Amino acid sequence: MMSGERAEGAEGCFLDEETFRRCCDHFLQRSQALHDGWSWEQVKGTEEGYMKKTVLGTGRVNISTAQDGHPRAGEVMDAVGDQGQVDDLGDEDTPVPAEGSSVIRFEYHVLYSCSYQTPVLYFRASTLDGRPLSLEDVWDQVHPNYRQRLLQGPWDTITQQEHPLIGQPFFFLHPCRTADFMRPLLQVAHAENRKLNYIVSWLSVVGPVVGLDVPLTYCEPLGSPALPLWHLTDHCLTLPPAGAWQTLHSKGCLNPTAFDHHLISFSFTWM
Amino acid sequence: MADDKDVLRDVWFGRIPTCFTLYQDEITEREAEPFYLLLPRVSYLTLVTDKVKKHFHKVMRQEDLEEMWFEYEGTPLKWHYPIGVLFDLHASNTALPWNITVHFKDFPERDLLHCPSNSVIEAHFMSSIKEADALKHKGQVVNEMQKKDHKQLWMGLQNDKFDQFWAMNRKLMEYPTEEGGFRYIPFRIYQTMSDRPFIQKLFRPVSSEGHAHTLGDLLKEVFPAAIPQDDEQKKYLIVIHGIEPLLETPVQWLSEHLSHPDNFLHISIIPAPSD
Amino acid sequence: MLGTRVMSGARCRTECWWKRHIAEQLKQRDRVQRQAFEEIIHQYNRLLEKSDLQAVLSERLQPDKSDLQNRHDLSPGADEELTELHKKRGELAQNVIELNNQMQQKDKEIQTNEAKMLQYQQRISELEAECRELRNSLQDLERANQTLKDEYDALQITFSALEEKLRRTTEDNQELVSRWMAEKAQEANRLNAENEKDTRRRQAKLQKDLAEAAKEPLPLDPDDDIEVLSEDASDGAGQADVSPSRTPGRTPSKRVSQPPSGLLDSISSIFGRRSVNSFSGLTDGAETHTGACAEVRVPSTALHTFDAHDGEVNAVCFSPGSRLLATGGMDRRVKLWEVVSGRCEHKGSLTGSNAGITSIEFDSAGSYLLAASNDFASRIWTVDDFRLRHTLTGHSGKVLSARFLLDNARIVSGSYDRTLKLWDLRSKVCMKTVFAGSSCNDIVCTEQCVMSGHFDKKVRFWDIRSESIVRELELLGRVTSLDLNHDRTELLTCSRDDLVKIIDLRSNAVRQSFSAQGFKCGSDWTRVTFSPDGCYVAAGSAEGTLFVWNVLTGKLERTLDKHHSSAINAVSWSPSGAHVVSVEKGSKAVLWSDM
Repeated sequence: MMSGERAEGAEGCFLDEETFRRCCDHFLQRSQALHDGWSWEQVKGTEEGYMKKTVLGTGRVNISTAQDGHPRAGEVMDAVGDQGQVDDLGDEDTPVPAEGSSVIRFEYHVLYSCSYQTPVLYFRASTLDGRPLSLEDVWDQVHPNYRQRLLQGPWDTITQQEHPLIGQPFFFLHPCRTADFMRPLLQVAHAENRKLNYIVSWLSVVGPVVGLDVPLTYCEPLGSPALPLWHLTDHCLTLPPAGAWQTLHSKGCLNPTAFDHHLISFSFTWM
Repeated sequence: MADDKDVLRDVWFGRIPTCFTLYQDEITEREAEPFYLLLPRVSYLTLVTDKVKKHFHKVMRQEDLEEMWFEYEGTPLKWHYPIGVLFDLHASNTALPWNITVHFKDFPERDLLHCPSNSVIEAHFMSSIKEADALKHKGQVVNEMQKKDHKQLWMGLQNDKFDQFWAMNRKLMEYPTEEGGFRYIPFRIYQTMSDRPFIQKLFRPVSSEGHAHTLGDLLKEVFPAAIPQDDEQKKYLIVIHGIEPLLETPVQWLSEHLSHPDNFLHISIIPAPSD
Repeated sequence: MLGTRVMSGARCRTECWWKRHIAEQLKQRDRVQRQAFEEIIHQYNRLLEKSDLQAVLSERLQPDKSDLQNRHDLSPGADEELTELHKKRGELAQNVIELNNQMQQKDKEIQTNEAKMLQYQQRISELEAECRELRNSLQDLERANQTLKDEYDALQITFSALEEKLRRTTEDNQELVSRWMAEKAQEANRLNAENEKDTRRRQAKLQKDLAEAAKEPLPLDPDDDIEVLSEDASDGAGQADVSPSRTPGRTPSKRVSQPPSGLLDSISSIFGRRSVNSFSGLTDGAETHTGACAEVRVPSTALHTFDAHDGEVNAVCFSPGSRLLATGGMDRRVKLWEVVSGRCEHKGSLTGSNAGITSIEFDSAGSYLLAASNDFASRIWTVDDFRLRHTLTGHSGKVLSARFLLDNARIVSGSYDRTLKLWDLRSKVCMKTVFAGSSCNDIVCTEQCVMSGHFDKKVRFWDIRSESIVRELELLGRVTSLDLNHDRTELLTCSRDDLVKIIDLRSNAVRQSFSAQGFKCGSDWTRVTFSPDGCYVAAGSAEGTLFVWNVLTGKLERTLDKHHSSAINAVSWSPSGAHVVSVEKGSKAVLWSDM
């Protein structure tokens, strides 16, 4: 079914739970078709649920048994793509040497926040044996283009939070700015009378920030790609037709800071 | 109105007598005496336990010191819950003082959030306030406030300053007269025997006909099992701030007066004592 | 935008019910969870602190003690350290206690200061209230003051208006007075004119009578006629020759026929008139002599008793023509009377004196009247028109007597101020002042000599030319009056020793003394007089009795009483000899005659 309805929520750019469900259903269909790995988890005994995806990636992670949560000047390479450097820690209690590449398991959950009436992205990373990564480690997963901005206001953007349905510590992107950056997308879509999947659009914005890839192909069933969509490859963005960016830019939520033929970095204002 | 002010004060100044005992497996240089403290119900564990940390640091070796965490009868205590909620949820049926065990090792990564500094608590606190306001006023009031106002809220809580806090907080408790109440009531219902940590739903304080919804209406909607049927015995106690309000109490009033400083109404549903 | 809840009664009660439940529950909770443990936890923590402190101390000592086991000599050191630490601890505790005490004291001080401040504030507010009150009262006073000032200004204006009015009224008054004076002068002129007319009429009548009489053959005594004519002829030689020629006139031939008295009176009255006809120069001398040859009749009856003045009458004098009588009194007036058929008709009053009149004299022509007054001045009026001509001021005391010198151009006046002044009428100045040494009561003049009678019982004779005392004569009593006989050979004096004396001027000896039973000199200024022929002397007594002595016999000729009710001040014998007038203290005057 075409869940390309406009994201009708309570007011324009907000998402009500039912629409969320519908968008998720549609998304999951696509995901299944693309073998993207998203699944739906339902909370026992209720109607509520969330989308979940687990990704395995590589990266160097600084783990020592005694110092899980404490900030360490750990040098962690990008989990995707780059070669890791050997890091030298200092004296430790445990003779666990700084490993080379290790497998890191990323778990992404898409929940619905009834408070903000937007979807929220929760995620966590851990080693295969279950030891979770610290926030700093997680940052290092963030694309350097976003990292600068995030480091300026770390606590406001990605924070450790209790998963509202599971109760375990996750990281999440604060949803309070979601409505602001979704509005222009929705308005343009509405104006062009195009159908839009809120979840797809939203996830394609926030996902890459934390290493989540949303292939372009999610949009194909929607029809004519009049809306310039984000083309995400390797966390790099290719330049869409100029006019579209300008449209987006004029709505005031996205500020292109540098134009590169192949790479564009954006600064986001999250909160 | 004077009664309401008293209620606000009693809520703010609520205390729980607590006995902190060091975990027996912690390595100490000498015997660590337990540390007694009256914990504020409305604050957070990591915010008010500096003295505990100092006390126990005295008997421990420097190199053994890691992030402090607490547990009660095997359950790690989530510092990001208000202390009063933790107590009501876990220990309200037991004898006072509340015996909390202090740990410095083996931080339960899966269960507890890290709290490296007070800024984490502040961020969490402010995040709760924003979420509550998003429910009450679509976030308009908190967004209109300046950074220093946000700071004042946090400082009020941190330094236990009722007046300083409420000078700002009262703005968050206002609503348009014609509405009769907030847009939605920010609340969370906690249970010990549940997978999900809490229940949070959208709930309007005033019905479409204009009646004020009560606590009973809320529970009926969100947790109907809590309300006993006519002939049944009471299975659950509905505890807020250590007391059981009557089910006729209007939720709007509860939200205004019995919320925690984070503007959420934290409701603990605990099994009624069987004796 | 706080919501306001409008409740109905029932809802309110329900609301209160759950609210109260919550409030009670909270209180209950606090009692159980907080209050029960608060104190204990607090004390526990204190103990903990203390024990920690102990632990710290003991810890520090532990390594020392372990050392001690190895080295004994350190033990005293350790003990010492311990005691030192104890001492320090004690000191610190002491410090703590002291600081606590200080703090308490400071607190107390603060309290007292606050109490004082409160007091001061109260005081300030009190003072402020007072100040406000005072300011209010000041304002009131200022307002009242302003009101008074306004009133004063208004009164000032009224006052100046009234002053202006007064000034104008005074001017008007003065104007009116001057007009009135002018009117009076006019009236006087009219009267004078009438008088003129009257006299002319009488003159005409007389002429007619004369003409008629001249037709009749009259049995005239040739002596008389001749004497008259001879007197006329020899007049120009001066008055020095008068006396010898007059002596024969003193023979009883004076007792001449009475019946033609009316004619003689008429003649003498004609001659008594002043400058209108050309007889004036001759008539002056003729008049006198005529008086000498007049028939002197000793009075026996009072013809007319009348009130002459308001108050005392001090002086009386007949005019040389015997027609007019002048009296002067304490009412400051000189009144002129005409003796007509046995009565004194008031003719007019001479005003101008500011005090009582002391003496009166007509000049030898009878045209001027000289009166001395108690206002220190002497005055001269013209008789015809009663107008004041001269006022002679200069004395510093009452002028008691003033007389014309025989040339009628000079006047001598004697005063209470013990001086005599000589006045010149042409220049109207005082030519000479002589100090007499005693108050001068009366003066008479001869050609060369002025005689003055004084308070000191002396009669002084002054030479006119040398203006010095020639002679002094002392009597036995204060001299009250002087009179000369008509040929100026004898001086009549009256003194307070009740004696009337005649002094012979040639021999300067008292020739005669007259006294009588019942004759007392009434005052210091009692005037006595010769009869015109010098044969009789008349004097009035203090009881109001008129005494007449005969000079030739020296005996009392007549006593006339019962007509005066008070002391007689002055007596005057008409130059015609027919009448005697006496004036008394009691304002009466009596006209005596022998008819």
